[in-house]
Amino acid sequence: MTRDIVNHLLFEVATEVANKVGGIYSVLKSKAPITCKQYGLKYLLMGPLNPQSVQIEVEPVDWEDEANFHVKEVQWSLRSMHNRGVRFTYGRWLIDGAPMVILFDLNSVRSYLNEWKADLWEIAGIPSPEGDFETSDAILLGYTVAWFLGELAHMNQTNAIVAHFHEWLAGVAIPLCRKRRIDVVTIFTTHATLLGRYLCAGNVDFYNNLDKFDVDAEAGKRGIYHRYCIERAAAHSSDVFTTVSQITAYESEYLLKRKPDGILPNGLNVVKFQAVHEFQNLHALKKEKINDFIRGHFHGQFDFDLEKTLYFFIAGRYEYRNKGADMFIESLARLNHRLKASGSKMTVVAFIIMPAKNKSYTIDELGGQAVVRQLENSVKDVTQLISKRIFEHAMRYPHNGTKTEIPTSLDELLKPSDKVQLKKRVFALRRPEGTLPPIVTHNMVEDATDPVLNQIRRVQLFNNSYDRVKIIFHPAFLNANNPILSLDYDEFVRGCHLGVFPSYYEPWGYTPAECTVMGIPSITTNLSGFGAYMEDLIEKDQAKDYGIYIVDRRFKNPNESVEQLVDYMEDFVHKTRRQRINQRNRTERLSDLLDWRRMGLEYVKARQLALRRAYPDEFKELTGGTELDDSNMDTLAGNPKVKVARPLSVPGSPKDSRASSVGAVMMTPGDLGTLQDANNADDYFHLSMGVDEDAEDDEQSNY
Amino acid sequence: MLGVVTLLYSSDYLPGTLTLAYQLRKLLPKGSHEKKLCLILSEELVEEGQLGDTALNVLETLFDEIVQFKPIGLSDPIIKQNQINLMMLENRSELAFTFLKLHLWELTQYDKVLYLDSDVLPLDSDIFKIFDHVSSQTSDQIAAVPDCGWPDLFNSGVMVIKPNKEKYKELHDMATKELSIDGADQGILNQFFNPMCHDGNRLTEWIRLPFFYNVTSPNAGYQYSPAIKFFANKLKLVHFIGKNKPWKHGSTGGIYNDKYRNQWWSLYMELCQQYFQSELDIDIDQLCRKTKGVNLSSDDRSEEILAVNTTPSWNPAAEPPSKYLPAEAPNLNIAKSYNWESELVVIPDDTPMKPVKDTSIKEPIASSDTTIGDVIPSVEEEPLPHYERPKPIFPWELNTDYKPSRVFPDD
Repeated sequence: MTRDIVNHLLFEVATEVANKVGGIYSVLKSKAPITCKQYGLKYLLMGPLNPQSVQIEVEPVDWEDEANFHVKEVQWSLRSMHNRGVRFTYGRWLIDGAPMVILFDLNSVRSYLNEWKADLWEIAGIPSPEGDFETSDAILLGYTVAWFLGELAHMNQTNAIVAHFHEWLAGVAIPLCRKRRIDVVTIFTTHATLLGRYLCAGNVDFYNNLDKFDVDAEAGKRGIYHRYCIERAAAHSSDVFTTVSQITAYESEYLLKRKPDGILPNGLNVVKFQAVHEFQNLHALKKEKINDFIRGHFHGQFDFDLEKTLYFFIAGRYEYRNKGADMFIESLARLNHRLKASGSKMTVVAFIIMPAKNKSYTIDELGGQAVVRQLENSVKDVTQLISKRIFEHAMRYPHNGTKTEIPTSLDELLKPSDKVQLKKRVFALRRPEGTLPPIVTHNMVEDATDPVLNQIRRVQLFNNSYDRVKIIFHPAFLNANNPILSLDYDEFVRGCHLGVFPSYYEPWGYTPAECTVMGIPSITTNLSGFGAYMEDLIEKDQAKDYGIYIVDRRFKNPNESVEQLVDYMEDFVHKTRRQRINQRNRTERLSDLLDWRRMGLEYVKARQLALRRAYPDEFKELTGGTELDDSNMDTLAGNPKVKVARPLSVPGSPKDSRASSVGAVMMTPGDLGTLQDANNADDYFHLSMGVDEDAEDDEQSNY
Repeated sequence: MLGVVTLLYSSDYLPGTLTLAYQLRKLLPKGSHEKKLCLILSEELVEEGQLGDTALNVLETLFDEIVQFKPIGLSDPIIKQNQINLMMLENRSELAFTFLKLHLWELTQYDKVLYLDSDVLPLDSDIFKIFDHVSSQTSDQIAAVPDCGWPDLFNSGVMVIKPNKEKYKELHDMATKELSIDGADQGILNQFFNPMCHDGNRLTEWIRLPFFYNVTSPNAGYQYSPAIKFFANKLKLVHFIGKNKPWKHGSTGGIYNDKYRNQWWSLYMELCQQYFQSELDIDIDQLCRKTKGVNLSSDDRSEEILAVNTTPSWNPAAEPPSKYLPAEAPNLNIAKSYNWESELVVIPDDTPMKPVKDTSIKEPIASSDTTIGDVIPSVEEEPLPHYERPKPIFPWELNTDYKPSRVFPDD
């Protein structure tokens, strides 16, 4: 009696299936297309039922109709559970790829809670206090999933079953699978460790003490010991244990006491535009929207040239230190100093987009936007009148005493009433004596103790006219429906010039990754998963040519890191417009590296490894009896590891004869302007991705 | 001959004294014998071995002359009398010992003495131009800088005097008889020399020196920050007054005028490297450790480091990051491979085996009458891994014939 490991069934279990809470949702959702393409109906997602989100996200399917199941035993298992009172929703998740989901109604099994809690204590020694509802739900979900997997493994003995669990909230089932000998293969992925999160939230010198923490005591102190136990038990009893980045892997090794078997970095669903320059156009378009906001915000002190203004931003959860807002502000102050000292004409407007407690917009902010709109409208009205007058005048010539073909005096075009109207609007732009454009767009609840504001106060970046660096703190999420800065987050990112994310604790770092796929250069650190990943992938010192600036926060002390950050920003400020466009082109090309089509390969490897550990003999038979080593693991997954090299220099095109005659002026892929050139650009990269249109088919044949 | 003199009466101030001497050595013209560095040392420090041989050797290298005096005991009438006033000036009883300062007037081997507190930092060799202001000074005169707290009084941290045994006697007399206005030497000296205090009853005089010979920091005055910018090039000496000495609070302790504290720290680090590399005096060692977070000696430090270093030392709302902070993750070895290796090392998971005090857990569900620590068997007692099927709870577990097809690592 053996199982078919090639045609295995895949289940992914998480609390964020069809229910957006945090980052796992994005991971599952963006990954769904490639996983569905590979597995088709052999892929199912499982999670708890959330009545609100299920209505929007899931199209229910009749589970009693066998036609709706690819594997009939799945239906049998569900029926058997239904007969014992377990309720669930079976349906199609309305996202790209449309995977099937089973969402268990935890209330239908709540009567088992005490029995299961006692069992968990007995078999795994995991305590569960009263009153922690999150943990109770995790236990209910874990036992229900284990129940289901056990049923299925009994009824279907032909296919191997791989169950992949995300985060501790879904992890209770893993020790159950091991202890109760459920015939499935398990993979556990932590996207950050519980303890790491808690420790970093508490502002400790985390990395320098990673090997010294007494994990049990620290967890106990924070009242999360039972949760920590679940996470640790899941890590230890899974067949394959993974995290999202090397940094988090290291963290897990010390805090969860198991070395991860591999890294499953988070990918993105990269939307490729038909025309390569499309994202550049979008940048210009969205930038204009930000320009509108800036005019309103700085009314009365609008003395800088928007053509010579760069938009920097930091965005994320309001974790002041973890996200590196402290370094950002510090470096902005130093950048301001340098730009002033060098007499630069460039202006930098730095946005801090971090939701904090606030009491809606300030009057000043709303008023500022309004007076500018008023002026705009008045100008429009007057312009209309002027064109009418020119027309009238021209029509009348040479009658009615009109002596010239066109009006010659300004008074004729601009009547006193118009002037009054315009002047009124211009006066409205003035600011009260001695006031400066605001820093915050909202009224803050904790204005006096807010760390961002306090640091801005200390470094005295108050948007003075002489400051070359201006700061705007927007303590709320961006939304196209907001009355000011009405842009969605991704539109805003497209309109900016540089994303700055000098994080201290950042297991993966979707924010800089998103910048990259939108062709916006970004600054990250080698303490963020993304930064470390890119550093690993791109030749040293080449990263910044691709618009990925990586600040060293490991070997440098904070002061040196800040200096490096300032150097990077200064370097960016001194780029010409053309250089920035080229850099954006190169940045956007990197998006292939972050696409799930590439990142997903690591998931393939994780599943292979899990199957290989559970079914060593079958696996050997499948691969022709040869032992596999790591290198052919890579080849099996179709992923030769190649580093991205320097942007290859190519001679200028024949048209550009001057450039080639100068000789020293060489072109980089980013300089390519034509469509045809861009279509060949893959070669310049040496990415040799090995995954293309039919790559998924290759993957399947590897099994 | 001119003397440049400082005073050491407590090992707490040793870093200050060392750094000051080290800096003065740098600033004094090489090969000139016109000025000598002299230290007044409290005998007690040497006798009780508080300093240690290394530190003493370094002091001997740095100073031309070391004069030892007995400290005045707390029972001395001079101290007793001032105890009350001292209490009023926060808890700085250590200032009492600065009565040692009076011994300056006994150093008659020098024509004139430039006295410097150990918590000052001379910025350049222009500091010695201070002697130009006092070319015709008599022993009835004292040259000093107005105190920023009350400019009609002088600050006794930096002063030029003319030693004279007579004056020492008079001063000593006065200190015993009269109450010092601040309970310490500065009061007595003002009462003795400052016409503002003695209303012309004496012939003594105060020669007022420019403030930049003794710029006290921190300073809360509203003129201070613009002035320190304006006079930045003229500053000759910074005096770190108050409890917040540079060496007391690590390299990031102060929220005041970081430039000079940083300068102090780089001198101090330089000095440590030059003189204390091989054999470290305990106090210095501890200081270095706390501030740099580096291994200077490898003993049982792990606990201390954990206690000292778990909180990041940069407070962004108060100051820019110091140059002397340790790196944030130098030991993070992420080059480690996580490369899908097929070998599975089964690590017995001992998570719940350790009794832990979790304040959030009142009582575990399964055993409401015991604490967690009691109920958990210790690791030694339970042999691992020995698989036993747990009692069934799921319906499918009732089918006992069924054997899983996969391999389990703990079978």
